[in-house]
Amino acid sequence: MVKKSRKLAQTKRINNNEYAVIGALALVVAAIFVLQLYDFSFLGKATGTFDITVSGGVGCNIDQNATIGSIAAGSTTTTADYAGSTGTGLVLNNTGNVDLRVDIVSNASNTTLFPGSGPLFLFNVSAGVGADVETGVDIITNNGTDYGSWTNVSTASILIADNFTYFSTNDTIRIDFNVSIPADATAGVKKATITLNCTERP
Amino acid sequence: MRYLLTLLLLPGVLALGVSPGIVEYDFVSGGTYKGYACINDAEGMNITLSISDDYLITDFEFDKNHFISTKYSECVNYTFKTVYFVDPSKTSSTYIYAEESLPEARNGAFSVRVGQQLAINTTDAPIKEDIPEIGITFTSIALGLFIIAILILFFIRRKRN
Repeated sequence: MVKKSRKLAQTKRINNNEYAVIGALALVVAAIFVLQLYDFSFLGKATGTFDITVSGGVGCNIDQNATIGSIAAGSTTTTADYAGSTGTGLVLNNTGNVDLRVDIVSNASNTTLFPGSGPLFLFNVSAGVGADVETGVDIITNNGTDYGSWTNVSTASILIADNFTYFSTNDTIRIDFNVSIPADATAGVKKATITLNCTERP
Repeated sequence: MRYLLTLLLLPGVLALGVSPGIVEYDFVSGGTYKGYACINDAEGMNITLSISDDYLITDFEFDKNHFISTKYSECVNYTFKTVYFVDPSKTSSTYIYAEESLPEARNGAFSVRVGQQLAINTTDAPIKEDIPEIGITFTSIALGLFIIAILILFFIRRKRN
């Protein structure tokens, strides 16, 4: 009788332990379930976010310099190619990652550079060179596709292009020049520094 | 026949960049501001920084200027102050320009100048127009009251004596 009750007690104790283990397992399963609800996993599937901020930068590059060279007094020369789309004008490339505004300013104008009768020192802006045609740009001063209008180079800043986009295949504009030397101009070397200001389009 | 040579073909700065392109500030009356401009693609160039004229800005200082850039991207810190009152009759447009310093001998060139815009939001700024009227009225009244008070004091003192 004593032996029987001892065995029963032992069985009861084992059962309690089992209950404890089952309870603990249930808690673990519940914990995993709750953690998984919050995207946490024991299986190496933890997720996270990765933020990168790319800052906007202005960048301009002169891909090709305009060539004028020697000119006879009383004659006119231009970098424009009226027949085709090439020419020897200055090519400006938007190398940054923002759309630009471009303005042009010179330290000399036609009259200060070539004193005499009827000097001309003009520029003309075109949207691109060859296949790299700038598609989004607004040419402010003129449209160089037909060379219909030319603008005087000035010592005051002139906005020439707005919304000059940065897309790599369509990000160049061309600036052609037209110089007309008076017949009574003094011979010598004439210098002008032409600056192109590139700023981000607000 | 005489010949002239126009030197418009010398390459000046071929490439230059600045970042960030626009920096935004909220106007603080008489406040001090800090910022930076990183000059990119300028390794080995003699860089000069300048600021466009703007009535809003006073006491502009770069921590360095007229320097030879030793790396691809060279950053320059700057501080500036603004005026106390906004003048609605004037337009404000501030740019920090970076360019390569061309030697005198190289005058006669194309050059690129890149600009960082300082966009200062002045929508809630105190307006200068209101200030003189208020100032003159306020000063006249205050001065008048002060003179009257002095006269009364003198009068009382004289009567006591």
